[in-house]
Parts: sequence; structure tokens; C-alpha cells
Amino acid sequence: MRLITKTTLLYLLITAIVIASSGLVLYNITNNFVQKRIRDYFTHKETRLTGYLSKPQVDLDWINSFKSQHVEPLSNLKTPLLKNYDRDTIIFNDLEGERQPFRARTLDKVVNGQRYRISMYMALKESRLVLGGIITSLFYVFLALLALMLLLNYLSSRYLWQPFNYTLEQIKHYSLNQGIALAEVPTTTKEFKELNNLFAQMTSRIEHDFRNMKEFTENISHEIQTPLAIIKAKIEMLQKTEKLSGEQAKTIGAIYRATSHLSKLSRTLGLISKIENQEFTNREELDLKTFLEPLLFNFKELAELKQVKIDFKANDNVFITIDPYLLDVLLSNLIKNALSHNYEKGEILICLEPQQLTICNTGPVLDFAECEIFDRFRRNGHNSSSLGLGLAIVKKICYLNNLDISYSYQEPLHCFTLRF
Amino acid sequence: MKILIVEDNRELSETLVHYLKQEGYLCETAYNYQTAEEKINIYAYDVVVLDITLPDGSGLEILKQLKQKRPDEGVLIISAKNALDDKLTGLNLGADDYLTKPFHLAELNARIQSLLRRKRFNGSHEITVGDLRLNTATAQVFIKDNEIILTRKEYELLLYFLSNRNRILNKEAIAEHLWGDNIDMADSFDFIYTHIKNLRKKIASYGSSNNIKSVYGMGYKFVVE
Repeated sequence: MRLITKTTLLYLLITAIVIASSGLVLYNITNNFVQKRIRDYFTHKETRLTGYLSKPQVDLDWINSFKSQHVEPLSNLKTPLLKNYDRDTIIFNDLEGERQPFRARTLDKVVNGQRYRISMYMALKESRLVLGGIITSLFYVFLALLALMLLLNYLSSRYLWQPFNYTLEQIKHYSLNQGIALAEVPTTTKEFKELNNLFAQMTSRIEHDFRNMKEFTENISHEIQTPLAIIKAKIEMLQKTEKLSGEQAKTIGAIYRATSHLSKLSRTLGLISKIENQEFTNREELDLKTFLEPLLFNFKELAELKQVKIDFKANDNVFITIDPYLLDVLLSNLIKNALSHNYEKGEILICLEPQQLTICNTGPVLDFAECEIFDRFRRNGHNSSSLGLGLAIVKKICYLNNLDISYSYQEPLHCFTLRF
Repeated sequence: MKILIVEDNRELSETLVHYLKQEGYLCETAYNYQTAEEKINIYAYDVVVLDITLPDGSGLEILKQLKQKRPDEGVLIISAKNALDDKLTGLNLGADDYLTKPFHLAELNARIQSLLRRKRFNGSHEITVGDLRLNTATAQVFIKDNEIILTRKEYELLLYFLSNRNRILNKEAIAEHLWGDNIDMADSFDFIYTHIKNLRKKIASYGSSNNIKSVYGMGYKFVVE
């Protein structure tokens, strides 16, 4: 629910409460006034009637010729006197020709030793109308307020909240890598100004930190390479001397391997951060079949060495839109993975359908949970010489290019499914 | 053969000089942009090994000047940046090859040789080692004038060995040469072993006395009897 709608609703609720309570108060006041008038009227009438009745000649017919009063003599029974018996009743008003509400009061009175039952009537129509008028007018006031609120709502969302929406739009399209400065939002509203300032401060802080991180990553992966190159070169020089004992040769071999591992690691991590920084944005529409064929040709010989059979079924004209370099990294890693985690004389099945590429391979069962397969440094069988980053790169590329990659194991095949 | 090594790290530069001298090249060094600029303007080299990141300028600028002045000099870029853009920029500016640090000396050597073969327009594309003859233009291998049929990787492997004959090549260097980053190290050693076994068999079956030998704990080398 929008803030403006919420405030409107809240406002309306409060208005409704205020109007209802003021209506109640008004109603009560009017009602009390009417009641008081009725009481005074009846008291006055009673006094007058008592006056008539106490005359020596009582003309009951004349008294009863008035619509608003009725007096009948009662036989002197021992029944208790009827006290003021007030009630609302409906009486046909022949002046207006319709049935109308009346207030009636009936009481017994003894005048000059004679018991009379006196009934008095008073029309309630006007007071009812007044009360109705109050309720209706208040209702109209409420409707007018509602209309006003809606108008205000519209205007404020249209004009007042404009800068806020503009800021939201900016946040929506904000991306760290683009390094686009935020546009100044033209607003005189203090809160929005504050919001914009905070947003600008926050982004500049984040950008600063991000740049630091990026520089650090770049520096480390870059500056580490020259010393590694020296180590490697020196070891190669040592190995060339051929005056090494077997033991020394082994040691040097181990140092060399570790160095290679280190340089590969930093290079691959560098690649991952480049992918993360979205530095590969050269998106093209690529035909997967023609893209896969040379890749498979590269792996063909490796597969033959391991006597792994590659079965490749592909539909024509399956296209994917992605940076070609990334696609190369993605598919190479998947095929490499299918090959290196395979048995001797195993199988790889690659199946390309519209919107889907499946790469399945035989191989030993995972010794960790399936969901961890894309984690960094997750290796099967503690194979320390593999980096354990291949599938992490795959996952990263898929995530950043809105591709869906999933892994499943259906005896005897490990299957990776890429949907695009 | 004269080679200029433009590299700001003295330690690495000296190692390269030392290695390439053993390979029979004349080497000169430049540790910064200024010296490199002077040297390429005064002398002619067969190959310039060029680091892109120099303390006082960009190697790419040197490359531009070099290509204007002497377009047929070979240039091999060595860079610590494994950036695709750098690579493409370098190659577009006329560099012949691109190596990422840290590289294997054997790899550098093989690249320089292949560069020189390509540069010598009138020269032959043939490498002859003992009774082995390898034609790099047609990718054919002959032993005692009989052609032997090799797979693509076996051919690449043999060429690598011949470029670095009588030198020990360790498995990492071989693996990286053959597959780049395309393969995990663990597997690659088995693959190399299989490749080398097959290659040896083929060479031996044609009665050549020159062949690849294992060096315990280190790797392999091509021995010319």
C-alpha cells in the first residue's frame, strides 16, 4: 500500500471518528433540547388543562375538540393514579394528511375530587427533521472531505512526491560498475533533500570501498605474477643444471608445482572478480552448435587418452546471447569437469535442445552434499592439484547472465543442465 | 640473433638474459620506457620481448613506435595482466605473440623460435634434429624421409620438445603448453604420460635413435644422440 494511500486512509478514519462524534454530540444536544421543549410543553399544557378542569363548568367536548389533547373522566376506582406515561406513537395528522410520529403523555389527575385521564400529544416531525438534517449535512461534509483528500492525494503524488519517485528510479538503475554520477534531484522538500544527500553519500562510500577492493584484487593478482615468474624461471634454471640428486629434484619439482598452483589460483580468482565486475559485456547472439564443435574437438584427444566416449547430439539453430569469451569459459569448464571427474573408459553425453543444454558424465559419486557442488574450493576426493574453482566460475557466469544451471545425479550419470 | 628484453624487474630480466644466452641469442636489456625507446630507435633487433607495464610509460607506446619504424621486427609481449583487452590491443597494434606472467622459460623459448621462423620470409620452415625433420608450414614430420602420422597434440608436443631440445621440460610446462588453462593439473600428468608414451612408440617404430627420455623426478627431455 502506498504511503499516500495510507495517510489518506488514516486521515479519513480520523475524520470519520471526529465527524461521527461531533454528530453524536450535536444529536445529543438537539435531542436534549427537543426533549426539554416537550417536557416544558407538556408541563405547560397540564397546568392549562388543570386550569380548565378546575372551573366549575367543565366542557370536556371543547377540550377534546383539540387534536393535541384528550381528557376523559375516570370512575373513582381505588386503582393507583397513573403517573406520567410517556411514549412515542404514530397518529394520523389530518392537517398534513399523513401518519406522523407524535410524543404522547398520559396521566391521571384528580381535580375537584374528580379523576381525569389526560392524554397530550406533540408532533415530533420537525425535531426529527432537524436531527435527520444534522446527520445528512455531516455525511455530506464527510464526502466533501473525502473528495478533497483524493484530490490532494493525486496532486501530492503527482507533484510533491515527484522528487522521491525520481530518487527511487535512480536507485533502481544504480550500478556500481558504471561509475555514473547521480543526477541532482530538483526539490525544495527538506526530507527528500536529506534522502538524496544520504543516498549520494552512501553510494560514494560504497563506490570508494568497491574501488579499494577492486584495486586490491587487481594489484594482488597483477603484482604477484612477476615474483612468481622469477621463482619459476629460477627453478627452471636449477632444473637445467642436471647436477641435482633425485631428492633435490623432487623438492624442486614440488616447489615448482606449488608455484604453478599459486599463479593459476591468482589468475583464476582474477578472472572471477573480472566476471563479477561485469567487464565482459560484449553480448552477441551465438549459435551453440557451431560454438560447441571446435570446443569438443579440443577435448577430443584428451577424451581419447582417457578412452572416454563423447556422445554429442545437437539441434541446429539454438541461439544464446552472451559474451563469447564467457561462453567459452563456461562451456570449457563444464566439459573439462565432465572429463576430469570421469572414469577411464567412461562416457560423456552432451545434448543440445532448444533452450537447454545438458552435459552428463559417468564418474565416482560425490563425497559431499549435492548443493555444495558449485562452491569455491569444493573438490571431490581431495584432489589438491585441481583448483576447485571451475564450477564456481560456471555458477557465477550463469548468475550474471540470467542463465539457470542445475546439477543432478541419476545413477550412473552426473548431469549439469543449462537453461537459457 | 639479437633480442631486446624490455622488463622493469631486474631479477626477471637477468634470468631471461641468462637463459636466452644459453640458447645462443645475443641479449640486450632495457629496464624502463626511456631506455627502451632509445634502443629501439638506434638498433635493430630480431625480437623484442616487451613488458607492457613499465614504471615510466606503457609498453604499448613502444610497440607503436617500433611498428612504425621497423614493421618486420618480431614483438612478443609479456604481461602480468591476463586481460583480454590488453591482449587484443597488443595483437592489434602488431605484436606477434602474447605471454602471460608467470610463464615457463621453455614456453618463451618455443614462442621466440616460432616467431623467428615466421619472420624469416626466405628461410625454411623446417626444423631438422638428427634424422628427424619437422615442417612447421605443413605440420608434417619425417623420420629418415618417411612421414610419420601424428595427432595434433602429439605434433605440438614434438615441436615443443624440438624447440627445447636437450633441455629438461617439466610436466607443468608441457601441460600448459598443450592445453593452456583448459585442464586440471591432476589429469594432465596422466595425459602427458600417455601422449609421450605414444609419441615415443611412433618415433621408435621408424627406427630413430633420437627420442624423448624421462628424467627422474623432473620431467622429460628430447635427447639427440
